Amino acid sequence: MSLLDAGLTEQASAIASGEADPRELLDATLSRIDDRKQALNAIVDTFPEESHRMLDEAPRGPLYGVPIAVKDEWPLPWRAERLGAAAPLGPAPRPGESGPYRALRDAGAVIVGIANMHEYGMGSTGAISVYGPARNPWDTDRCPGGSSSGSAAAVAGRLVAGAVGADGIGSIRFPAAYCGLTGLKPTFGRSAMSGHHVRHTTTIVSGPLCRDAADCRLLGTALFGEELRPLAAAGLRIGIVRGEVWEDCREDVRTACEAALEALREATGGTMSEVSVEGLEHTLVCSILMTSSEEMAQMTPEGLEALGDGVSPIARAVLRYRMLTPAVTIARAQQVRTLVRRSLATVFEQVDVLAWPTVAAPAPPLADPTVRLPSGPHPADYANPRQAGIANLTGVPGISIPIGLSSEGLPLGLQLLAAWGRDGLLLDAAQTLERASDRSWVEAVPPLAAAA
Amino acid sequence: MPGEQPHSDDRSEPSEPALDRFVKAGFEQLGFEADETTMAVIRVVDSLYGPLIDGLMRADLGQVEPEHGVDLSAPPREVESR
Repeated sequence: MSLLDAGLTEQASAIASGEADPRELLDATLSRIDDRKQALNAIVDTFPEESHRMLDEAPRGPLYGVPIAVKDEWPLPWRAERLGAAAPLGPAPRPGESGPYRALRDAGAVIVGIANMHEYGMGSTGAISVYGPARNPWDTDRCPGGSSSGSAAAVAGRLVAGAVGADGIGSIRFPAAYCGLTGLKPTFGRSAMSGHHVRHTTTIVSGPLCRDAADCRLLGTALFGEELRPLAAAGLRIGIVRGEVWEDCREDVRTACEAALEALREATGGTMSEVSVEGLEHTLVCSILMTSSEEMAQMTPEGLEALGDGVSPIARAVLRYRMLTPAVTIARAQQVRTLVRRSLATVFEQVDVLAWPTVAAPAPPLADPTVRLPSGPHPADYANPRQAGIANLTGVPGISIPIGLSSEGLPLGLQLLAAWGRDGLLLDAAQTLERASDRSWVEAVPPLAAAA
Repeated sequence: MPGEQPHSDDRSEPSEPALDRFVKAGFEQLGFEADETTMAVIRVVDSLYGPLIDGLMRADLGQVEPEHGVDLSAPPREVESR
């Protein structure tokens, strides 16, 4: 197997031990990005000179010489972010040393490319981008998930072994689920974020998208600036919340998630019990209200009016409509945030993790991102935030773990949430589940990558 | 997805739905054009999220005590100090 097809941990060890030449890996990665550009459109910009310079100057850190992709959501010293859009939402962005850039540089990593994303981060599918949509390596006519669409497509498509995404309402976890990856949404404030265009965010975090939990731990350690040591997830107390998050999912999704949870419970010698979270029914709309109002805070009507024709009609309309959001809804969303945070704090005294499907249905077609659920057909952008918004609203960490394939051969994902600061426990649980399934799902190779 | 008012129909003026009137009036204040494409997108958004906003506006949240000094990287302080 080529080192290009290896995971992040394996690439880092091969370079550290001298078995692999990081220059060769970087050049091979750039070639592969080029080769698969047309099929995946996952990486929208490369800069070989700067990548080679990063490698030349890289310290011997835990990610020394490993190529990493970064979502088009942060500036780099040689490139301003574009947010997958034709025009900026606020002041023109400028190149600079963002938090993720510094974290990767200090860990010795090499930023090899910019990953595509859903326009302005305003979608869970990746179907809209100024660069054209990124494509799902499991079926290139399907959505890769968003908004960290290119980050997921790049890792699943074996362009890079790790990518940095951002999660404001599930934007790491959805693409992880759609592309069969492990994606960690860290506890709020724990991962590198400086330089992000939403300067006063209380919901968005950076996080790793990788093939498995060990790789997420390695990249997460760099982004966190502290080690996420593995521990045994023994006696795991799993909490199940009945309601839409379980019941309004496609049957194969529900069945696969239930089977994975039973395997996790058995492997850890743990327990499974039903719990309830107060205010859960409001978390979808409240997470959207909080995230969108914080983003809107830097915009002016004149700025929105000046957005050019390159911006999609959907984004133009939604952004303008958001300007009319009544203040009372934001105040109420704050109240719900408080209610749910208190409820979660109590729940996490009873259980270690909460679990439900990351997405209610596997990746829909790019041409029609509609999912068909027991409650009827819905835009994926409506169904997905319902599963994920609670973590962003309250600050708790969440993870999506690959747990199988649908009848169409599309990945399925299980989501676990834990109490604030217990990000490591989520990785421990994911690693336990990987072992319990003989690593079948983390080592499954998408047709596009297998055919090469 | 602004508020509850535009979602509910105003039967006194059946010629134009309340949502359309709300958006057009707001857009006029802000200097935006309310073209048909924009309105079509907004109607879809409102059909999805309007009911959720209605539910939020009608939720009984009066008993929720404020959380002072919110730190989203940690549990609520009163719980932490139990």
